[in-house]
Formats: sequence, structure tokens, C-alpha cells
Amino acid sequence: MNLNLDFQIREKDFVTLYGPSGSGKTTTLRILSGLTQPDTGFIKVNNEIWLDTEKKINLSVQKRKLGYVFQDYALFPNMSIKENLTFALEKGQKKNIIDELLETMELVQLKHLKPEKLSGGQKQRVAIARALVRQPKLLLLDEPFSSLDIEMRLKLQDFILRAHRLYRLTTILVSHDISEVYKVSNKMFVIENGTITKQGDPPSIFSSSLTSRKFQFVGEIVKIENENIVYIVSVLIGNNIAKIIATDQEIQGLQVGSKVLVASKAFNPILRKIE
Amino acid sequence: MNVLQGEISEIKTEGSLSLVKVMVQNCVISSLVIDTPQSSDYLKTGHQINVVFKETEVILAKQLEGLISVQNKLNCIVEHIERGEVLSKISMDFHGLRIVSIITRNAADQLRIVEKENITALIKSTEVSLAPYD
Amino acid sequence: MIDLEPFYLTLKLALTTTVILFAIGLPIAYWLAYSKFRLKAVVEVMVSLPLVLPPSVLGFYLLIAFSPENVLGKFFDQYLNTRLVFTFPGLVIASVIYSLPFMVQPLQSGFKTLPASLIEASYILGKSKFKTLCKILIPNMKASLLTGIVLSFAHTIGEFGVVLMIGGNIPNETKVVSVAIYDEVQSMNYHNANVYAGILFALTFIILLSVYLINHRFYKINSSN
Repeated sequence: MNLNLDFQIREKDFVTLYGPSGSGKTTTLRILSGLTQPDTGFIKVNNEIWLDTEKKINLSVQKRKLGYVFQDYALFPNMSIKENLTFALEKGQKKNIIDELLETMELVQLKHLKPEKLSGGQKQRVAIARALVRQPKLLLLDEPFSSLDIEMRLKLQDFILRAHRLYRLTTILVSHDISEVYKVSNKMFVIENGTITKQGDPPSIFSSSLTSRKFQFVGEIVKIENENIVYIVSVLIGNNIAKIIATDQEIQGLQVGSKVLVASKAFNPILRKIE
Repeated sequence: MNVLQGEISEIKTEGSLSLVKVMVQNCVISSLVIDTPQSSDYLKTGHQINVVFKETEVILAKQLEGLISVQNKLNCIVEHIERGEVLSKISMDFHGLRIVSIITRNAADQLRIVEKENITALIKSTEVSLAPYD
Repeated sequence: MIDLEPFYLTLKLALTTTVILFAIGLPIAYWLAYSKFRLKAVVEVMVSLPLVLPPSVLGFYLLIAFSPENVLGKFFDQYLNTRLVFTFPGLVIASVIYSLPFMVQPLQSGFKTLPASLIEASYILGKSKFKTLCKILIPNMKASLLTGIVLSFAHTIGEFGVVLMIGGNIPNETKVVSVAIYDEVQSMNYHNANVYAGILFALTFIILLSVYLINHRFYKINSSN
């Protein structure tokens, strides 16, 4: 497969690269970070040229200052949590960033433990904290939530959003999870077979099939109950479960875990102030 | 979900609300949307579009007389009835298209709905959505 | 009474060989594990040859090469003032070559079993290849390091053919335990041969046993996460 991409990202954007597995999303992150060399290419970040194959410019991985969170976390097993973070410090960099990150990512209690003692979600938080030690402006996340359960995923999405705002990051997330894309990113590129097929903000990309709906959310099916004549489908939207009536025709191809768009006309919902 | 194919025949706009009339099998179905021809590309007369509404929003009536505020009145023929304890599902033919209504079992019994008879399907225009062709 | 000198010589040879092997084996293993060089396989074969070649073949070629009449031997003779044939330094060089696969192969497989993302993560954090090797790779392959070091050590203790070809049987210079046993048997001193052999057997058994025990512990630690 050929990977052929041309895109620009604005500063402080939260961008998702969305697409089926094997479409070239991870490779894109690897090329940006310098871990993989493209045949030809040009990368410019903040007026600094990282790659220009024509002029034979190729900044080494070490010099492209960015944060990268790997799918398998890649924590160093021989070091404690705090040591993993300290290892990332640059020469002469002040150490107070370590404590600040441990605090932000809620890792203070765990800082003396080795990575093997942590749960998936905790490891992920350490990986994010470690990626931020050098205070990069660009953060790359390679499917950071794929191996976590729903609850942990939601919590980590909040952590990442918090870090994105707090440290004024430009973040690029690789994902094939619609609800995740919806929740965290403000811009997305759909990559299929090595090319960008769609780009824009997530709502306009996902909801093009229902143009006049103003009341719509993306969620994940957690339960489907057959109630004779109709089905009751429980959908997790954000932190809430919504129950939706569906017919046997609507339910075809859906199962627990399916990502769905929940849409209604804007005329039904009732608004009431919460005291 | 009931999905019927049609063509936009008229658009009336006030503020950011539009009342869109769609021709489906020579009948008009109207839809109220929070969009205007200025804000949305799909709102153009002559545009092919899908009319979408939920089965549970379809009201049924027989020998309908007098005045009623519901704009969309579709004359159908009952094809099939499925009865549950609480709900009933009525499948109907609308000029060759299929419309399904889910109403309570009580209501279906009171209307004494039987197969092959004429029936009117009513849908409020606030419950009708518009979607482009797939 | 048996002479303890061969034991001293054997341990000195094994220790010197292991230290030198570690110093040259680590870079070779690193290169073999990560290089994309096309003729890498040739180097791999060279490193592994001592595993399959009869020690006498290796010893014969080394004997020729070490001879002061040939380039290598001449070089050592003239510039380093060292004779390699029938001397201790010659034994060390021969042992290093002979035990090379026992150091390189465990280290190479140790490098290969570490996830690539560990190295990549370190590079992305701005760390050099050397710092990554010292702080990330080596500390996370302790089992392989131990295996490489101990196997090289034990293998050097146990070598016979190469030592006999290169070193001969010179007391206090090249007469290591394995040669001493051979010598005693030739002179029909079965009792002395028995003592030498028994001690050598016990020594190597204990060394290998401790490696396996320690490696099982490493394995348990690694598999508990």
C-alpha cells in the first residue's frame, strides 16, 4: 500500500487521524516523529523544517521535540514511575515539572512503583506524563485507549483533554473509535487506503447522512433488550446511559459495543433548570 | 425508521426555521427544520431527498373528519398487523412504499384495524427529518 | 599430590577471556540485532562457526596464523613484542575466538526480545543511542547478560582441543586443567586425573546451576507483569 498524505494542522488543534486499521494512521505518526523514513516528504513545524527529502534535510528523532504515547505504553521496566519521568528530563531542565506532572496525572501515590505493578489505565497515565516532561508543543497519541475498558477510557479521555488545554498542546490522536473522536477532537482526517478521504470537524463528517437533525450524539451500545414488537437499546453517551426504542429493522447489524449515532428532531426535548 | 424518497417542492423560511415541502408519490409531506437554504446546501427546491420519521411517531386514523393540526395525512392500505401485549406494529402500503406505525395494542383494538382496509397515517411536521440519498 | 597451578591458570584464562569477550561481544551483538546491513548473515556465520567446527580445525588455523612467519604472528612479535604460539596471550586470543558465539548469541537474542518501542520511546525523549543502550537496553536484559557471561566463562574452562593446539602443555604458562587431565592419563596417573576431573566437574556444575537458578528468578519477575 502507498501512503500519500498532504495536510496542515493549526496550533493548539486536537486532531484525530481516523480510519480502519492498516490504513496508514500509525505510520503517519511514525513519519512525523522520524521513526520511519518516507520515500519523499516535507514536514514543517513552527517554521522549522523537520524533513525535506529534496534538500536532504532530515532532523533526527532526538531533535524533533515531541511527545509520543505508544500503543503498548513503552514504559521502561527497570525504572519506577518517577524514574521513568526523570529519565525524560533534558540536560539542565528544572525538576519541578516532574512533581507537577505526577500531580496532574494523579500518580503521586504510585510514583515509587515499577510499571509492572500498574493497571492499564495507570500505565497509560504514566506514558502521557512522561511524554510531557520535555514540554513539547506537539503530542502524538497512537490508539491510547484501545486496550482499556469503557469506564477507564472515558476517564483517560478527560486526562488527555486536561493536559491538552493545560500545556497548550497541539495533539494528534490515532483512533478508530467514533465516540472518542467526537469527544476529544475538533478536527479530523479520515484516512483510507493511504490517502485522506475526508477532513473537517467530526460532527460534519459523521452526521452527513442526517442533515436536518440538530439533536444528535455518538455513543456505544451497552445493552439490547427485545420487548416484543420493539427493542430497547441502551446507549452510553458520555457518562450517561440513554434508552432508545428501535424496531427490528433498525437493530439489524447492531450489537453490544457498536458505535451509533443517536439523533432526534430538536422539537421533542424538554429543558428544565437544575437547582 | 420509515424512509421515503422525494423531491423538495417548496421552502418557506422565517429566522432560522424552515418549513420544507417534499413531494413523495404525488403527495406532499412537510417537515419543520432548524436550517435555512442559506445555512444548508441540501435545502433547494428540486433537490432529491429522503424523508425520515420514527415508527412510534406515526398516528393512525380511520374515517377522519373535521379539522386537525397535523399537516401530513397519508392515505395507506393496511398490509400486516403484529399484536403484542402492550404494543402493535402495523405495516402499510403508501402508493407502493412501505410505512410502519407502532401504536399501543389498546389503540389498535379500538380502531378495529384489519388487513386490506384503508387507513390514514398522520405525522406531525416537527417529527419529520430530512436526509440526503445514500 | 596434585599441582594446583593448572587451576589457577584455568581461572585466569577464563576470567580474562570473559572480560575481553564481554567488551567485544556486546557491540557485535548490538550490531547484529539492529543492523540492516545485507551481508549481516555472513558475519553471523563467522561468529557461530566455533559452535560446529572441530576445535582441532580452529586450533590448526590459529596455529598457522599465530606463527611468527605469518602476518598476524609477525605483527605481534615485532610491534607488541608478544609471541602467540605456546604462550598465555595466545591462549587468550584463541579462547576469545572460540567462545565468541557463547557471548554473542545470548546477548543478540536478549536485544531482539526487548520491544522495539522501548528504544523508540527513549530516542523520542531525546536520548542518544549510547545512553539508550546503557540506561534502557542493558538493565532490561540482565538474564541474557548473565547467560552470556557465565556460558563464556564455563566454556573457556571446558575447552581442550584449541588450547592443546595453540598452547601445548607448558607448566605455569599453558597447562590448564583440561590439558593436565589429558597429561595425567597419558602418564597412567589415573588417580590425579580423577581428582582434576572431579573438581572441574563440580566447578562447572555449580556455575551452571547458579545461572539457571538466577535466570528462573529473572524470568519470574519478568512474567509477573
